[in-house]
Amino acid sequence: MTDLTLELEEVRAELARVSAQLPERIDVDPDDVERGLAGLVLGLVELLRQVLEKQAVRRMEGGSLTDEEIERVGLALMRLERKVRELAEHFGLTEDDLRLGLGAS
Amino acid sequence: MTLLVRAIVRASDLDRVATDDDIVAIRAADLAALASRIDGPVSATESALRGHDSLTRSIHERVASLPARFGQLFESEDDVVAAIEARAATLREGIATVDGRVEVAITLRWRELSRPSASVDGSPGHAYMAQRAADLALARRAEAIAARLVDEMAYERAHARLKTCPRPGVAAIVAILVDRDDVSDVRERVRSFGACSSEVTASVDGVFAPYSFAS
Repeated sequence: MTDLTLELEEVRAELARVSAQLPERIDVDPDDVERGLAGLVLGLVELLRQVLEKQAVRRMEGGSLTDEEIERVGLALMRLERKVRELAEHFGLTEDDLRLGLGAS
Repeated sequence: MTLLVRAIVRASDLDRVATDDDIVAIRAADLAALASRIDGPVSATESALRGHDSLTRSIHERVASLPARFGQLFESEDDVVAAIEARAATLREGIATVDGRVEVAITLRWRELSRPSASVDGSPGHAYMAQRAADLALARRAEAIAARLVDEMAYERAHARLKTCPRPGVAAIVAILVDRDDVSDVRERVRSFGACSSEVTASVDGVFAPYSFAS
């Protein structure tokens, strides 16, 4: 199995695990729809960011990224994390609000 | 008026749970929800959360129940019934799993400073990746220790919920579903695990209604 196929399998397995744990009913407060939706969307973005981050670290540790690629990926992930936090703060959301009730990590 | 769900139980167990003006039972075939009628908005204040915990604990002491997370609100009894019916099979299975069992929470704390700081000379992207690699390595270490704890306790993995590195200094919080009669034994085994570990200390909180196994 190639590295790429292996990584895709891992991402697929991670998403399957996550989708199995997603709540069947999403609670969106009707009086605060904007915040509820922001929490849901940012939670998904944060989840994907973490999956990408794990893959990137694994590739870095496996030696398949060049120095330039590590720098570029690191900066991109760092900025994305910062942006998610800024938006979460804007909507009054905490880190816990972005966890989507996924249980064990 | 809205309904704040407290717990899901078997309908056949309802006669063992006191219902009154504060708690109503809403049947959905062989299952039932225990809920409170609420006027006005519901806020997650400390007293409201403590009240909810006290109620769910008291229900679970009497019958097998799946406690609801605080804040599960419904407009009508029909809405509650529809929500139960949509997940009936899962709820039945969940109640069977928690029957005769309670939840305890084991906290594993690092004996030494938890967050490794990756010292990297150079650019911010490299520093970020190095720190993340160190954090992930720590999380893997915490997961391995917690898995060893569960194995040593001779509990099924299915009866354990694990959260690694939830906050600085804490390696993991492990929620375990234990038989009511085994709680003292579990406390002793956890104490022994912590005493023998060079990496973490271990403490037990609870017992609780089985929140971690209710979703």
